Amino acid sequence: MILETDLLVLGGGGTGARAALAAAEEGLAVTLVSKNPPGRSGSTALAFETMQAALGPGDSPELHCHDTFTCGRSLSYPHLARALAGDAPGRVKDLADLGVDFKRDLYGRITLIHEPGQTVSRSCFINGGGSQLMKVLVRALSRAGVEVLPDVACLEVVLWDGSVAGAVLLDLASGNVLPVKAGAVILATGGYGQLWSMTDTAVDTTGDGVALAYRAGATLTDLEMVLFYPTAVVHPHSCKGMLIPYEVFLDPAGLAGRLLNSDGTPLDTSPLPTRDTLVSMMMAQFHQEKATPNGGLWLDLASSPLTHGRKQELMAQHLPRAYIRHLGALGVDILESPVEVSPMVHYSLGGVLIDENGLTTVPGLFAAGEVAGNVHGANRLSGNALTETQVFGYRAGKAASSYLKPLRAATGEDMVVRAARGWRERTLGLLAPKSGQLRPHEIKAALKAEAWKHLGLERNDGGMRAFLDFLEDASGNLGLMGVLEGLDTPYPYPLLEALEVSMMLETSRLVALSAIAREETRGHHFRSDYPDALEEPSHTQVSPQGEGSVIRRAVL
Amino acid sequence: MNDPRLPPRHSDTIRLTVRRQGATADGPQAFEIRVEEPVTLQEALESVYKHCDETVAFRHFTCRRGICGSCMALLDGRVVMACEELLFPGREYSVAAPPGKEVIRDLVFKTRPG
Repeated sequence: MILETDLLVLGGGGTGARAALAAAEEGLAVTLVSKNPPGRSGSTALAFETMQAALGPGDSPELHCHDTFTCGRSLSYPHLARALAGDAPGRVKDLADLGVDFKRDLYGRITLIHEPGQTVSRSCFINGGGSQLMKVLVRALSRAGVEVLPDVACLEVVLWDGSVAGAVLLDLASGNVLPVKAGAVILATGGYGQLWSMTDTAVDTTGDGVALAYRAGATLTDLEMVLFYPTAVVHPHSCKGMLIPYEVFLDPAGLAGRLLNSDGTPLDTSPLPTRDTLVSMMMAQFHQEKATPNGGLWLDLASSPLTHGRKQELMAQHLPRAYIRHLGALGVDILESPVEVSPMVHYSLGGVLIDENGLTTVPGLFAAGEVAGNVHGANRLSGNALTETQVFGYRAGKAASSYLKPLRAATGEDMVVRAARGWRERTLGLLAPKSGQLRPHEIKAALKAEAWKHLGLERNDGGMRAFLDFLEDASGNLGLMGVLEGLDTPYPYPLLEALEVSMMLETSRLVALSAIAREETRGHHFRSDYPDALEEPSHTQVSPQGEGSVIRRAVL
Repeated sequence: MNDPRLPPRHSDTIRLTVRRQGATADGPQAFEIRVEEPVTLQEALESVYKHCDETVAFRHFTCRRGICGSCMALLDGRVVMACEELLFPGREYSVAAPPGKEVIRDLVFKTRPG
């Protein structure tokens, strides 16, 4: 059996949903697939409430673009930052029309709050946050007649004569390989935060789209640029990687907490710094060996002047219940005794190289949202991620429609069917018993630990080359990877992990090569052997045509 | 205290019985995992997957904030979110897919979009 659609959208978050809607409006047959339940999974559903758009007095798209570029440490692609800022007001209006509940003032105007790095207050506040946003988008998908397939992963984007002809999917519910014929594919698969052990991203954020694009021949850019969120939970283990919003917890107008080093000395966090600045302040403490037992700093709320009741209220609003419960079970009252927080990988700034309409370097292959790069640069402002999902999802959906409009003759079916057969055979190899067999999750865990050690917060040439050696060994050992059950069994998660792992190893290598090539410290890329920023910012780009060698391109 | 003639106290063990269905196994199956402190049900299941039996199926993705409902399960007769529910060392628990859901396998059930 082969599925057929005009446009295949990979990813069930905010970008994928917006892209699918934009294309369905143009009359295309659109199929959207998601590795986990669409709308409920993906990073958008986990996002906080803010979305930037230049709507206020004294604001303009030019100023929004300027703030994005400046706080991105001059490493945004300017045409992407301009598109982000220029389209943001229109996309907020679309969402409001669809029924997204923005916080408003007495006159019905959208309330704008101030976040770090903004010249003027620019963040709209979505009541209910990312999960509410997704509820609205998913309802709209169903009204628009988009075919939504949950629990489906992508194994390969198939080309014919140099352009997209379809894809090979893995349907987890049945365990079947599904060939799909499609004239265009939009990658909206999210970031690659799961390459690291210290991350607040969801477990399915394995960067599949980056590897899929590269394997299809696409150029990638600024992969070394990942954003660290300064204050994520380190302990207890079940809660590791839960995010504590410092924009609320350290804000004097919020919870008015403090960050303390191991001596109990507070960091000066006023005015509230952007994320890269706060991370580098925390790293300075680590260098002075002032880290807490689990390698973080203390978040202290005991000294906050707020009333106990107010603190509890804000805490309940902004912390996961599981974390509060868990601390309670361990006898820790976060309002009385400090808790450990550490920077963790939060967002992928780099990704698949796109033009301002989401087109990659492969005809018919589009990318938008976190999988694409590089809209933000070397740092991203709070509130610009949700904007990115809507602006670039919309643009990619429209561009894919224009690409498909000349009604291209359906070709390449044979290629898709052949590729699907190839995956059937490849997965059989995973079933053969092997001596010294490795399980996918073991390889994953080793990769994540090594990546954090050598390609984490602080990087240097020697460490990253050691990481490349590790990757070479690990890739060499992929033949030892085995699973108990293969295709045609329902929910073959170990098989999915095995396929993810091979993509993760490939992506990690490209991230490391890009990070080695960036011989400077800029934004979230901290090089102990190159502590200063170069005068002229430049992008890194890596492509299969260049056999993985990294080239530098000036920011134009 | 540590009389070697007495059986071990197992105060570092959680016994988790999983209702299997839809594929390799059918019916309850018990697993023991070792823990140092209370763990969430989600983490206990991860531990079963890694250390006991990789064919036990559950959704590894969860929002960890009790919002998405992906990890909803029936724990000792109560509907809970696996990402939020704490299990304590030295105790026994029993987990199954939530009632009224179409089960794909073991604890994984079909969700409606959004």
